[in-house]
Amino acid sequence: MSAVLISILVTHSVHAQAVDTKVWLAIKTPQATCALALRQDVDFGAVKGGEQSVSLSPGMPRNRGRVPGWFVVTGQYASGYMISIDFPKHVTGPGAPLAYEGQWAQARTAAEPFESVQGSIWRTSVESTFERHFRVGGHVRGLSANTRPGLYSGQISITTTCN
Amino acid sequence: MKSPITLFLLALWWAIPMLGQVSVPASITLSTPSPSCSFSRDASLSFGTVEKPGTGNGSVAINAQTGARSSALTVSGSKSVGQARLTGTNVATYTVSRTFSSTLTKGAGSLNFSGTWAQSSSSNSSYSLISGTSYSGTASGAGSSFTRYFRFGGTVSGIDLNDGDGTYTGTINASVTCN
Repeated sequence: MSAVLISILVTHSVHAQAVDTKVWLAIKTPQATCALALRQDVDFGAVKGGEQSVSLSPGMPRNRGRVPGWFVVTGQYASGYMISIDFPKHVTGPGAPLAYEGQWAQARTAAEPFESVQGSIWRTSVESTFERHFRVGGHVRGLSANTRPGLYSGQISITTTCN
Repeated sequence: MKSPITLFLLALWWAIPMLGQVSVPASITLSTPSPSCSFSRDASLSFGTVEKPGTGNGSVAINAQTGARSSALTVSGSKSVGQARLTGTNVATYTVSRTFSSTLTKGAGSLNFSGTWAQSSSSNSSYSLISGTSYSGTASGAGSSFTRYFRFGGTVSGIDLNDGDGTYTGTINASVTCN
């Protein structure tokens, strides 16, 4: 009896590897921008002799021919906006300077009620598209029957900062 | 004189007992060449820099097949599609599995990330999008080498002004089994 034994062993191996891939994204806030647009000068209108002072409420759009000043600040992407205003102490004209006390008010839109702003600086912290309306009025004092007729004027300085 | 037939029968008579006395064991071990794979990262997935929108939210995407970047937002900086290279020898089949981060993070902040991937036998072209989390392919088997390229892209969405500035990161993990 013959016997031929053949055994076959088949080996098999597995190889594995892994790799990590990093994912990156940088985001940034766009450059802040802001703009100031003058819409209307302050106009106290004509004052008749004998009045001692004249007032113009900044919260009112128009009052007996007196028109508040109006400016609008717009901006984008700023984290904060600061509007400062510098009122003159006097208005000057053909006669002696007249004392001026400025007042101003702000609202989100021209159609909304304006709220009085205390002090000379108004600031807010926003990051979306920004629009704010400001009106300017105040009081002119020191008028009398002796005040020389003519145009009395002054200059209001407004500064807008956004960042 | 004996005939050839007689001689054959005599030989057979002699041989049969001889075979009955001999045992010839033979053992053969066949071993296929061990498969070997190398999986390496060629490039990270970088979306570059995007500017946050003033209102609403936006997204930025990199196409895994073409590497192209697209966004309605303002984008800048260099971008790159993620790429990994699989090489192997003596490999019959292989399976690549991937895990994508669902978010990119920066500290406590996060952005939604939806990853895509594609494969090709060429490093620069003919990428086919892969659906699902794994891809299986056949290689050239024992005695041969092969190379397969994988690209990773995706979309980062929900970017708005409330997201903090900075670099957001995530990880794509891919693993391969060759056999």
